[in-house]
Amino acid sequence: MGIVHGERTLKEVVEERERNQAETGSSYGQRALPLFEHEPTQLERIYWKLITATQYGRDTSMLISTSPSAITGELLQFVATPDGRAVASSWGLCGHSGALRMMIGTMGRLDYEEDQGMGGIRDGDIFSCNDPVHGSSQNNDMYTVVPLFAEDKLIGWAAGSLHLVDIGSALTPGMAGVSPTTYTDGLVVPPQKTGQNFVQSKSWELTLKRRTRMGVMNVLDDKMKLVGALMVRERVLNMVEEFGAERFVQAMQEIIERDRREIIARIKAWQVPAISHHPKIIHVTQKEYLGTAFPEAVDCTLHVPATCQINPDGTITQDFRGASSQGFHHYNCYPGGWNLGAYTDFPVLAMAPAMSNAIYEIARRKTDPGSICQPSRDDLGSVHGCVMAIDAHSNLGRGYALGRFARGFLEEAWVNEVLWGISSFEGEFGNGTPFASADWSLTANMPLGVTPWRDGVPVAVGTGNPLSDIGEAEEYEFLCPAITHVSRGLVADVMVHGKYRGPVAFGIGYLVTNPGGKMTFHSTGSPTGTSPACVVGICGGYPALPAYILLLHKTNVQELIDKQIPLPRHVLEARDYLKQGILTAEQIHDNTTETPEWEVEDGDLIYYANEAGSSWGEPLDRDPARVCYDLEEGWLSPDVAKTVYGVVARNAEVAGHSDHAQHTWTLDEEATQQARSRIKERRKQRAMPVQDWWTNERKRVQNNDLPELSRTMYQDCLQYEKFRDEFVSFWQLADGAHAAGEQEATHGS
Amino acid sequence: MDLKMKEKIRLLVDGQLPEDQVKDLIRMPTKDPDRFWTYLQVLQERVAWDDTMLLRISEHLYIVQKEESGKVISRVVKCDCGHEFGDYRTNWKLQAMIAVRKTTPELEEVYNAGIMPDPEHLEVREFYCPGCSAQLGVEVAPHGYPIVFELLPDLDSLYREWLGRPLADESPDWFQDRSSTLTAAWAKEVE
Repeated sequence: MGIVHGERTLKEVVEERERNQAETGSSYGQRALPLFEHEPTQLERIYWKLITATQYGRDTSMLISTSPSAITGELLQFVATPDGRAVASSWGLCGHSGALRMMIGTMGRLDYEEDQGMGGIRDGDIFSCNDPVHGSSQNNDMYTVVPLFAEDKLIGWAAGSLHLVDIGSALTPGMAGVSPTTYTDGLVVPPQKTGQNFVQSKSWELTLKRRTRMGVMNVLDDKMKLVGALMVRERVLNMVEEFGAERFVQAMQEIIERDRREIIARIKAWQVPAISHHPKIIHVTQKEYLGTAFPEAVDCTLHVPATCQINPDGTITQDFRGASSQGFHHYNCYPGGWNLGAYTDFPVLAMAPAMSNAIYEIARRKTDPGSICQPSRDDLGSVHGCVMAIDAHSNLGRGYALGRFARGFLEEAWVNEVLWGISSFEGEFGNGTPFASADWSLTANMPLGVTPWRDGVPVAVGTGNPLSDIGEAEEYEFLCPAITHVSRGLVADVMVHGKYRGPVAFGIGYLVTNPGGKMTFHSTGSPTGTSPACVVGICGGYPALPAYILLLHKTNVQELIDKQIPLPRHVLEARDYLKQGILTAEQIHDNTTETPEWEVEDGDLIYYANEAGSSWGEPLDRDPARVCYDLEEGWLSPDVAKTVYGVVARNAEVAGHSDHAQHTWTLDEEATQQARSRIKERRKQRAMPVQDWWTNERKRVQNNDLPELSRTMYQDCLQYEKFRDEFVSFWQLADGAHAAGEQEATHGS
Repeated sequence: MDLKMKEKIRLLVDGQLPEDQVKDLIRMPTKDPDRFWTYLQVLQERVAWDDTMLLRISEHLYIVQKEESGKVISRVVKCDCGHEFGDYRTNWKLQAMIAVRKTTPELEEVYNAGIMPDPEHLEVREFYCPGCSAQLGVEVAPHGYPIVFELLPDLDSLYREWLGRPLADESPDWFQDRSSTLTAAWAKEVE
């Protein structure tokens, strides 16, 4: 007799879950939904009670015990069925709700219930996990889970998840970046019991203190998640008392299946059955940084294809076959990483009040074993596996947007492009105390993606990650006292042009201020590593820009401060200052998005520009009135208006002090028409038929006349059937040998 | 047809529908069931040609039915200017004009703030309509990367199963990528 309601073992319900899904397609093999059909009001009551329970647990626990990093909002509380499927969740990074089914799956399959060494699974137990192979999205995300027992039977789980401020990674603390193996990822905890009788063990507390930087903060956050989960537990048990255990469990199952059916119905009503392709490229630059310690960790270009197939039955096939091989870098994506990635589907496809497991049940993922999308070994670096998955799902979202556009629902055709960045600072204070911190401002305030009816909106949302707002400079300065914000704001002209332009980039400037001891900086984010978000732009627009970082080392900033010269506000102004000689720096580093550890010192300046998302449609279709608006707002330079948009506008009026000038721009319609005609004429001169281009490029491919990293990427990916078919048939090669050469991919393992 | 809704859709397509009214559309508890047909009618009224639109696949591109003597003979991709790109099962980009930006000065023309894809690894491919020179597609791709077939719709399933109005020329052959047939023909020409 098992511990689960219905006299079954955890192992049985986990196996049943997987069997039902595979055989019937429905969440629990249901044909009918009696509560939904006959007692919808009661079902809704249970649903909203669950949502409010999780929200109550989240908001209250943050007042009891928390680190400053948790206040920024990623904390998620959720409640799940006995087999681990999330039913309802609070605000927070909702993608984490998918991880519990993996964690519980492992606990079921390995028969934790009968594990005498651990004492089985009992009321009051606490389990933790941050292992992407068995549950978490990445090891920075730690889950705290309590079983829900009613009448001595397991009726569900309450869980809390949070990104810890540091997880003890070997090379890039804070939000971990460069990490070739799981052993450099830092602390990785497979599902394990870390407390009982509703109290975490002292050994667990000691583990967090010993194996992570800022361990005290992590202990506080651990307590917070536990408090939240226990509050959810209390409310759930009250519900069981009100509705009965049988009905409560049935309701949870029906909620998931109801949501699944609703998503399917909406796909059929709004979209188009189709296949669309949205590949991405990631450049990994690590060789110089990792040196001889990890000779297998080379620079490489990773291929992340994303094919979105919307099937006639309303389900979605998410096809990532043809991706690069697994390797010694941080982009290996284990199943936990995919759970987080799928959260980008949620606001587009589900639009329900709370995240549930249904979103995972309308899609099937295809991957190649041994690729970064399905590693066959479990000892590889994976701290950015979930980042890759988020990007890949974000790109799949273009398929959803195109379907809605084709179907006429333009108001729903938005590109949920996840553009984010995290700046991490770490080192030692003057007294030798180690610290690590991360500024999440660029994650809390992502842009709202472009649509076929309006521009992208900068600093607008945190889809899935609703941190508070952009006004958190002081909080991040508290977390890392050795940085001072020089600026935060939009950066004019850093945008992607189109009929509807992408959001204007958001920039942050930091001044390093008296770090005391050693201090380093690194950044992570997306679009990652040189490339834009996606290879393909939307309907004639350009894809999103990569994020950009500029580090100025050993500057004359103190001299500028002494002379009361304002410091540069953003990356373009900093470059301008350098050009003019106002600002000097002994070393200038710049990079796109992903940086290794850069040592910084007092007076260094760091500028970040990100979130210049994709545009929609071609620039010459942009309403000139919109261009004039951008000119008046100062987002666009007149030269750019003319050269990119073919819009000629006259600066009709300048009033007031030069710093606060009021500009009124008047469209010169005739000159605009002429400028646009000239741009089209120039296109005719520059362009050639694709057949001619293909003929020339084919020779390059046949002769291996390609940049080394691209060549290596093709060599690697051609081993996978889907990419090989596409590549060989496109270039009409006898086989893959031409581009593949005879070498083996060097970054594969 | 709801004329008021048709006018809203027309304005929405033009980007002229006030944002509060777009939000009203977003907030509709149930979307207007005739949206697809209204949308096609709005789009059809804007072009100078008569071929029946089956689906809009990009800002300027449509899949249309070609008829001869009242009989459907093909489904092709057509630009609103009237230029035809051939069978929709073959990636329309292969029949377009292309211009590639490979150098920093070329990239700076569209990435004017100097923050851009790295030209060492990537090139920017712009696809233009041979008829009107509209920019129909953009790729920022590694050198040697196959041109991406962005969208191949399953029109028969859409019309039969989701819209309830089957097309007269249904066939399992319609939902196939035929792009390699064209590149094979090109290869023959050069070999």
